[in-house]
Amino acid sequence: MPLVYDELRRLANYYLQRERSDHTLQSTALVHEAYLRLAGPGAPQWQNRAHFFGIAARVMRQILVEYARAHTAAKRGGIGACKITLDDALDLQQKSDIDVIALDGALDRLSELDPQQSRIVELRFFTGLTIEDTSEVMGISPATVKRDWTSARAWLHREIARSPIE
Amino acid sequence: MTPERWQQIRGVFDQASTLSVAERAEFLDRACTADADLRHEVESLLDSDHKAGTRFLNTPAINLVRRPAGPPPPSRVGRRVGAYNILEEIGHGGMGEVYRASRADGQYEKEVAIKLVRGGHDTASVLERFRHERQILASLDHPNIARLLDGGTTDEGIPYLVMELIEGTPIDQYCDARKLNVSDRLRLFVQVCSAVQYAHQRLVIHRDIKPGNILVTREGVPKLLDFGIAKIFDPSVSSATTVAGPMTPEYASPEQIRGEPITTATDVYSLGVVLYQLLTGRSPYPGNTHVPHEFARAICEIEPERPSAVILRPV
Repeated sequence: MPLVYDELRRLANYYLQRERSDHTLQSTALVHEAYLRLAGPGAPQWQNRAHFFGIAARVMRQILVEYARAHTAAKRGGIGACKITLDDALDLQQKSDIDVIALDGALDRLSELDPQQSRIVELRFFTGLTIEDTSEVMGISPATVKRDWTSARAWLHREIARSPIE
Repeated sequence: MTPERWQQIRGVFDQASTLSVAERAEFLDRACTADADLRHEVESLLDSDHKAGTRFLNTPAINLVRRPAGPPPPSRVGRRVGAYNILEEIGHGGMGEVYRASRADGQYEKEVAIKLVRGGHDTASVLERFRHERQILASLDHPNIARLLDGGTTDEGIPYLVMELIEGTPIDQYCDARKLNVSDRLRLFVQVCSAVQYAHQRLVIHRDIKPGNILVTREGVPKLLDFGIAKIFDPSVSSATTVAGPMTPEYASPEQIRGEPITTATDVYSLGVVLYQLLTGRSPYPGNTHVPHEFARAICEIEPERPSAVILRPV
């Protein structure tokens, strides 16, 4: 089944460009990590485009959260359980004002209130889909995606602001 | 909060957020009659929406991952590593930098290539694998294999390998630049095979055969670089196992993709991909295969088209 993974290709190309330009172990590790989880042993069989993007979003979320945890552990001076120390590769907190670990927890809580909103955020934020892409992948109207996205974003922002600092 | 309550809150929020700030108070008066908590929740969300601004979550996560700006590692050119003077950086890759160097004490006149491991590796396990493999790799003595000459650790404890310096062109570029015919390409390739066979008879697997690791010298001699080196630097390899992720997806074998044990067949597969390219000028995988997960699918699931059929089609 020929599937068009334009957005994922963009993401992967982004990784690969970085690999070419700075040749760090970290970017190599990121490439391998995403690659193995999407295609390696135990990777799920993709049934369709929506399923593929759902998994890709989940994989990106896992990787970023794991790296953020390793980063936090490294900063605390702990050795951490990560295979490779990726503290240099992930600087999310500083660069974006987003605490990925807090976002991860808040998304779990959102999924209990409204699973569809939680999925929309995963697709938009972790795989970079646009409103239109998300609407297509989920089979709901762009207007619905936009509405769900707006209130989810406000709710998540509030949750993260409230969450205790680790 | 219950899902039902959330639907109620966000329903009011959805409408309020489309209104101007001036219109909101009146709207909330009507929408939240006798439910002060509802009004409080909606106002708090509107406030968060405002604070979230345009950036929050709107920049995809991947664009936020970047290396912090920091000074580049100091160049080692002009410095000494072990008994060698570093002359020039000639390459760098995922594993680290490669330098042209010469022996400081004149004991060995030829220039050599020194490969330094980049920081971030688990140095202790690299060193352990390095000690384990060094003797085996150093014993590989074949005209088409770049020799491993020496190795050690720098004063800072960074492992390095000293190898025969090969100045040449990757085999695919070499063949194309000289417009070699099929017989000449095969003659080169057979020499590469003999090098791989020689190593396999000594139970050494290359693990990362690709055109970039097969350089053809000015004299027309193909030389395989980095034999067995991938194993030393692969963080997923413990000395007890031979399971590893692929170093280069384009040339990886299905067992590398799947994370299964690596055998000599792994190298044979990669040689096959190289041969396919030398003969057809194309990858055995579909033309739209560009990124790792697509290679994974292509390598494990797609039967490549016969080279004889491929060359008849226009590019």
